[in-house]
Amino acid sequence: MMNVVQPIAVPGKPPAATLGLIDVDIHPRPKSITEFRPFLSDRWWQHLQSWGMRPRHGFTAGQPPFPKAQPLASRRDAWPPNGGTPASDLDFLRFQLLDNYGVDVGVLNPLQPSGQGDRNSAFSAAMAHAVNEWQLEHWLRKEPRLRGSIVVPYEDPQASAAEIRKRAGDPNFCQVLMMSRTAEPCGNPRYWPIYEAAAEAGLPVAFHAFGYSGWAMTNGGWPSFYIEEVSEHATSCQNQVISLVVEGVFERFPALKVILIECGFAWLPSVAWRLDTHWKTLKSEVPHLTRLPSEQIRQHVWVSTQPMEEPERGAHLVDICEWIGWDRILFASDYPHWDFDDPRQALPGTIPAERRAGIYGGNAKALYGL
Amino acid sequence: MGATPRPCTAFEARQGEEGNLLPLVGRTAPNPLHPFSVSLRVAKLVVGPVSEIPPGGRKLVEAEGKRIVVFNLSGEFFALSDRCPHQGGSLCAGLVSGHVESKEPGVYHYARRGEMIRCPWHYWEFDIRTGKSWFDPKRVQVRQFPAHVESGAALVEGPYTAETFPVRVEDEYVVVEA
Amino acid sequence: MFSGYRPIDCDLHPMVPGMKALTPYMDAFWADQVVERGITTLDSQSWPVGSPKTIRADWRGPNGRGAETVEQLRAQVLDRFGVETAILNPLYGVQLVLNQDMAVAFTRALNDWTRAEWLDRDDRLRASIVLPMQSVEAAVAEVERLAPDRRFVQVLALALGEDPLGKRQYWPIYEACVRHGLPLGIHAGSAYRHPQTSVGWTSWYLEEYAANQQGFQSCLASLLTEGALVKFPQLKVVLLESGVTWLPAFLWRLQKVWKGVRFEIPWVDRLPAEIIREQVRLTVQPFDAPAEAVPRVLDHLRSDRMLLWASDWPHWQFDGDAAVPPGIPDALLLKLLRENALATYDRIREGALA
Repeated sequence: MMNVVQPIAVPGKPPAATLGLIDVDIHPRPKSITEFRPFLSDRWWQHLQSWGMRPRHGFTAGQPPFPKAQPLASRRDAWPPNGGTPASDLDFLRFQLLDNYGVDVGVLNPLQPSGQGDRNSAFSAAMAHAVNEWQLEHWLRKEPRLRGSIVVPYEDPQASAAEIRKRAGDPNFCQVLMMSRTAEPCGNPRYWPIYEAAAEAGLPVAFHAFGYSGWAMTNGGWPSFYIEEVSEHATSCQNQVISLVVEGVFERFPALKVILIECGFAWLPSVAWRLDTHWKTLKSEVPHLTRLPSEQIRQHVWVSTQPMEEPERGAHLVDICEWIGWDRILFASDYPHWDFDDPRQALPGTIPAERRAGIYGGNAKALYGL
Repeated sequence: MGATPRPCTAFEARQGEEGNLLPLVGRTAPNPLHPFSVSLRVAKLVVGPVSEIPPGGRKLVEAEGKRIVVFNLSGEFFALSDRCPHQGGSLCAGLVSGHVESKEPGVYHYARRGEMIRCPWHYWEFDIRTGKSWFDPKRVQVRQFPAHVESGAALVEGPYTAETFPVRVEDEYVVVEA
Repeated sequence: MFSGYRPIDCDLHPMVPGMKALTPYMDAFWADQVVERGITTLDSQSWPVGSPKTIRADWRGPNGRGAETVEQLRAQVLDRFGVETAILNPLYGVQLVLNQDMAVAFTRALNDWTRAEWLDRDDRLRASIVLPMQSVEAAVAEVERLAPDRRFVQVLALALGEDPLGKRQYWPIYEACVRHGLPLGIHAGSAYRHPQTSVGWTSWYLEEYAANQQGFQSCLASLLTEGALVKFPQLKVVLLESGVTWLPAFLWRLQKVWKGVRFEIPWVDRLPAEIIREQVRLTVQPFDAPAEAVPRVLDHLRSDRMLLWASDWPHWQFDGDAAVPPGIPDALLLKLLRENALATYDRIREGALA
């Protein structure tokens, strides 16, 4: 029965999280942009003051082209009682997320304001550096359960590689962070310096759903609604996986690990099958591909749970997990965003008990080497 | 039961105070068939004076392991479990909004302002009057509890003070049967 | 073959040999424009003639092209597979043309060419009305012009067009479709108004071909969210050469988000998956899944009415006579090969009954 009143949940991790609870998607924000000031040069601080961030769409002041469902796309109960924006207050984040659910390791994925995908690459690089320093100063050095993502100015791959190399070996950072909507398909060789540096540093590259490519949000033009924007994250990510495979990124960087965060995942088997099916007829075009695309995806790609697709029959999700590989699925809460998943409630009952520990923590431990 | 720090009031300042201990009065007899069954026991919970929950306001109360959110819709009181049937988000922390329907694409019929509550997680909407979800009213519902107003005089037989606030015979109180 | 059923083939592609073939169907001005301006071909990058995908090797003629004559079609598909009825979906690049007037002239010529060179030559053939999507008004006019010919059984647009197909400016077209009992066919391919992906231009044809799968999702999302399917409940939408297996995951995601943000599209007042299962059909060449996964994918679809058989001639989707995707259970064959198509295409049904 869905409408039975449950006892008030006591804080604690899901009982099935016997290998630990690792949340791979937490979005910290600065209380105000001035938190970045110490990490920006006068020149770029002035630039930020005068021009703001300029993503590849028309609005300013962080206003997205598709208004979110809730302010700052956040849970209404995530605004810290002492003021500030959701996930801008470490103590409140500890209280509401880390302590409440017994999160052992939480991975920070700073989204905007981060300067990623800014039209001005030099500014984007300065911002990425600042956001990484800010993660260290405001979060990582204060809270041992948190790990950071190396934010890179991905439209300037050389600068990105330099930022990765600067952070390589720092155990505070566990992955490289890109947005899923890049200006060109992310397998394009122009992005390869990023993958080279990440592979060299032994760090996975995470693509988080979001960003603005500058192109229409579908390959058939601009949609109208936020519900479409949200759904179209899946199509953008599908294109990215296709690009990574077909351009030969995994053949060129056999150690590269890619994580798809907040991209959904039920679509991945179909994409893999499609590539397998049509690779067979189009092999002559892509002689650089020597391995079956589905095998490459199985080996190199991880996915995160939130927002997990919700089939009308729960057993169907189990099929999907089997096709993707149970060891490739990572738990994500997406805190503090409006479509946050409660770790204790997120996995549907059809997920077998013996698979849960891996999803909650075991798979991420193995992936990140924690 | 101790008051737990509850974040929901940070965003919605007009919400009632949370974590109040509830005075339990007029407890009914246990169900004779299940004398030890907690779930079948109905208790009368005095949520607070009517003046404490103004029209459009809400108050979260906790008792007996239940969290209940009480809404005032233009003088009528409705009580729902605070727990969203989806993943357990606190409905008290959600947005209260209206209901939009459409006869045809591009036409928005917006009505019942203030009568729908949206869970802060995933934004499912529920009818405050019934607890029913909009998208699947038969299967997805928030548990509803009867709520009404009683006079202090009716609640208190003789001088009586509730555990956390005094019940005064001359005032009116919101009462929930939970 | 086909357990004795005479199949209805819902997706075949006659290929226009060149613009010279169309000039007889243009007025003097446009016919001269074609010659004087050196417009030799409108072959689209969506279907490079030399690509092994575009023309199966054993269906390719000595001139390197294929699907040029009714004789080829009979030998390679109609007679070979015992096809009862076949729907031609011309993919010549008229939808890519940027000059609206030129587009209308060329599209009319293409449809007239299909009628004269194909429909008139074999009774088993039906065709789609290719729409000049550059102008909604012209597209409606083209439907009105050709709809009286009952051999035109649906209209045809590309998956990757200028605007998402649910957008309301297109609705007069759908109104005309409903008026004439014509499903809206959406075929893989781009009008090249946008890159093939929402993250830019692809390097390889394999990427580009794969990206149609995303375009179909966006089309359906748009048709649903804008309210086109709700506004026109009689409208059937047929997704041609989409790959099929992407559909369940797409529905699960869309429906999940809808539960939370349906306030944005209040006209969608019941489960999106139900609406789409009722109104959307998909052809099964290709069917992007290994045989062993097919039964589970079919279960995920939760409908045995949605799939239509197609050869996708002359595209290379299968070898030899393996025209039904491996893994499709025999129990589905009658529906797949015939019944679903008859339920989808009013005009084929009336022909079958006649």
